[in-house]
Amino acid sequence: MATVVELRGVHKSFERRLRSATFAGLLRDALRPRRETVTALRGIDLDVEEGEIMAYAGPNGAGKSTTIKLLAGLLAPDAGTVRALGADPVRDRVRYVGRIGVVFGQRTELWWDHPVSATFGWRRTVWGIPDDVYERSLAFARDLLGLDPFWNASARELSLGQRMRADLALALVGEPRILFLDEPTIGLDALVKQEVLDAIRTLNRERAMTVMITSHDMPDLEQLRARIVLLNAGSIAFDGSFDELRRRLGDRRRLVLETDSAAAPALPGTTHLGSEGGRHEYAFDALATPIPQLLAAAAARARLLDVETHRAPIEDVVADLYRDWRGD
Amino acid sequence: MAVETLRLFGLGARMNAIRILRTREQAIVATLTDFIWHSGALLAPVLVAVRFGHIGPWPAVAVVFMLAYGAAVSSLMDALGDSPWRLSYYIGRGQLDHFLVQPQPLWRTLLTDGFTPFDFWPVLTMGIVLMAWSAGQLHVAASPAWLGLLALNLVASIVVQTAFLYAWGCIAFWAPRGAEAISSAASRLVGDLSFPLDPVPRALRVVLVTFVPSGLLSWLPARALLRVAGGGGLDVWLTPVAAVVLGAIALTLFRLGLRRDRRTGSWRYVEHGHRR
Repeated sequence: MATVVELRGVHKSFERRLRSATFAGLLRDALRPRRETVTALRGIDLDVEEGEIMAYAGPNGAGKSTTIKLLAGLLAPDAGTVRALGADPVRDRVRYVGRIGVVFGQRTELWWDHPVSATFGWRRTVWGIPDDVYERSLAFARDLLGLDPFWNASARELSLGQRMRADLALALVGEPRILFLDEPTIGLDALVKQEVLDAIRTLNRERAMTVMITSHDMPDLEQLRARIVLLNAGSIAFDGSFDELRRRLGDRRRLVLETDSAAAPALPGTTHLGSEGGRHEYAFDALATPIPQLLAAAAARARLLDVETHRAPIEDVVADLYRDWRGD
Repeated sequence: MAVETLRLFGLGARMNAIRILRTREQAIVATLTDFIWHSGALLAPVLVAVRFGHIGPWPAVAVVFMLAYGAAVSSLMDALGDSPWRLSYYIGRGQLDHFLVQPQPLWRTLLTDGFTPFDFWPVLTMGIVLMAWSAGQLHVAASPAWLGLLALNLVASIVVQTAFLYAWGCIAFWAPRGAEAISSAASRLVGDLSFPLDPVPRALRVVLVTFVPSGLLSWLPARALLRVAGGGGLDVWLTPVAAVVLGAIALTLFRLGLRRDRRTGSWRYVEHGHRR
């Protein structure tokens, strides 16, 4: 498979002015402005192969959006090289952006006072999309994202979910080779989120489209069965599959015991998360504390009425990881 | 290049028509309101000129020509869209990003985006009719050369105003977080004048045709084209020359700012404590 995105030693930092809230501080800042440098990316190397879904995650300020902006041709790196589809996104911007699709979850490309259909016509002209490609890709996107019910409605009349579906469909018109999605599921309800994720999976499966997606929503990303790259403070802290990530962090599980007593039995190798009546929940690492050993210990300490074990939600796993990174 | 630009102007016209014709009532009300608003703005100086027969060395009819010229410039500026008036907002709010993900050169996007030909035609029509009428009353020989100079000056006045607004708006590249309203402040500084500048003290007149070039949007070109109040001769080239100079300054500032923007990005959409 060909490499479609290649970042080598990419470094990016921003300067931020520090401001005071006191009058004396304001005067001092006016005379001698104070600045600090925020490093968004610290020499990262990253390859994305054609036809891959790559999830890009990390805590706030980790450098996710900066990377997407570098790849969308909106920012130039301070050091290192950024190549995508064989082009330099900044130097070859006009030629390059015609071959990618970009969706920023918090912004819309739709014309606000116009019917949704008008924005698609606008894109066809501005992007110079040939008629046959336009008709084919539009039919596919309309069907995939179910645009027909609001095709002729004004963008300002759409719900957030409809707007996101329209924005995603818009990015697909012209058949881009790479789709960059920055927080595409933010603020969406469960159903619409599912539809958007299904659409991304279908695009990747049926069109072999390369998708690079940032999100804070780990279960969403895990659903995509994507390769996950975790950023921390501008560096890549993990690059692999979700299964590998779970293994790396231990096989974190939950144990729920139902007993005839409101007092939670003390179980070695677990953390008691809480109790409700006779129902007690524990967190444990199944690699360090095997389940049979734990159940034997529980049976010896309490009269068990029911037992459940399940994997810890991925967001808990990642939250623990973020806490470790932050040094909590 | 020209064909592609015209294609995008055509697209702008189509989007403008779609917006205007959302409802019949809106189309009628918007057109009428625009016409009444601009007519009202012209009325006061015309009434003064008619009452006294002149304003300083300007006969009443010449004042009408100057105001009609200003109305034509103003309507053509409106037709060319929002970017001169809203550049600092585009920069400060990260909207340039939307333009940069379009596969078009940025100059073409800024020139054609927001083209609104159906919003401005009533005022432009009024401006052209009044210019023709007043030039006739003043017995101006409307030769092809004179009409060419008129067109050149109209374009130059538009470039002057656009360049002035761009030069100010570019400041937002260096201070985007608190500077979104710079363009609004700049647009209040420069606008077409309602009265001839001849009675104004010379020092102020110089300021009004250089640093705050309101005088180049109607007064100086009309004075030169009509040869009133001592105008004429080489004066007719002053506005085009100013357009070239101001245009070069604005272009340089914009390029410097854009280069910086590629390094810093828009603070609006980065994750370090700014508002999203």
